Amino acid sequence: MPRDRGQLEADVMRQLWAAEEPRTAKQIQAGFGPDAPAITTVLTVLDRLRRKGLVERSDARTNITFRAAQSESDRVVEAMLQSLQATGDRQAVLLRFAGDLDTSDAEVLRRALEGRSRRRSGTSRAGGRSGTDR
Amino acid sequence: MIIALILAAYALISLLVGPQVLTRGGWRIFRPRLCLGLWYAVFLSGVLAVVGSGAIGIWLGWRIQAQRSYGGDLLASSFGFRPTAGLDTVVRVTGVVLGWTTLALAGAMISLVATRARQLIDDERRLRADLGEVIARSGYRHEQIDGLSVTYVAGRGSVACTLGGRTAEVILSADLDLRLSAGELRAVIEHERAHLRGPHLLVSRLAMLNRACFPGIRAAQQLTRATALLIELIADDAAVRRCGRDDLISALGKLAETGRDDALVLRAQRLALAA
Repeated sequence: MPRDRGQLEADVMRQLWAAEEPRTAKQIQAGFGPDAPAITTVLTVLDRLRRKGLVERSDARTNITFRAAQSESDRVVEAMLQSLQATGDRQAVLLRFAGDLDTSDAEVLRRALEGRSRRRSGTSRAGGRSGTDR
Repeated sequence: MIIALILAAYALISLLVGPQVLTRGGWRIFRPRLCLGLWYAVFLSGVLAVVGSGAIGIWLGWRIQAQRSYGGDLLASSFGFRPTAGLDTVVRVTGVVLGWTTLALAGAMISLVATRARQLIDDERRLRADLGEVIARSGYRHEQIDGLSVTYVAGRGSVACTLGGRTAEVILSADLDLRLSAGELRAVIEHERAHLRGPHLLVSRLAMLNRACFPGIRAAQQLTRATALLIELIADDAAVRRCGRDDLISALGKLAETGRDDALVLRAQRLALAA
């Protein structure tokens, strides 16, 4: 199954974060195993990641290597990022995209959406009936 | 005295009955801004009524204590009857006790709010330092999007958050950078911008302080929950206005896949239904 662009970028980054040494595009391609994308695809992905600032390219003219611009394995950073995702009173200090919603909020949303869907389908059915009556 | 009683009654009704009315029906999910406005109009007017009736109570208590005949005069002017000598003493003692009790309650409340506000300020300072360290250690890209500072940090997990204040900053993790398209990322950033532009942090803090003052009261918990939900829906609507519905729906869907977060899926469904 073909991978989407985001998935490919994520897979390449995972390889680079896991690698201790900078890697060439060929090594990265080999890292995908039998399901490897074409080398041109790998190079395109690497270029996109370089423009995003996630990957650094060596200055060499031949045997060009790539490495992650930032290590992913910094435990301190991971712990901090985890704590940023934690909910609770931090909501009054930090605003997160995922929000600070619990199961009761999800239930409120679900009930409201079900009510709206029922009303909509009721209206369209009534509209359809009056259309057939005519 | 009648004014104080009316204010106290209004405070009770607005702070206890108001939430019961405002949590009924699904309209609030599709009119989040109106609903949040009503919540806080009712809440703040209730708080003002509490403060007003408390201040009048303290003042009356002080007058009753300072002037022996004031209690009797007050009953005569407010309710049209003058108490007997024995009842006059009861009115006087009751007035003084009520005045001092109100004063003690007001003092306790001010101290509680001040302590909690101090904790909030400390939390914010710590969080700002933590975020600064995360950015210094693993930040790999920095962008200015329509005046909003956005920093991308390397790391697992889908993190998108913002810290308000003078140096407002949006933090996005590499996981989001990799999984979301440019349009979807922009939708997430616009959602965060809406949080910063609206008084979302302020209302979250008010709700939290209110819950700290009335920990066991259902209305205080309802206000906290309603605030958390409504500010997210308001920010979603603002992001849709700025960058279109499809990108935000798709970003919410992708984030829900990894986080197994029902609320994200439902937020996306709400936007799709509102189309």
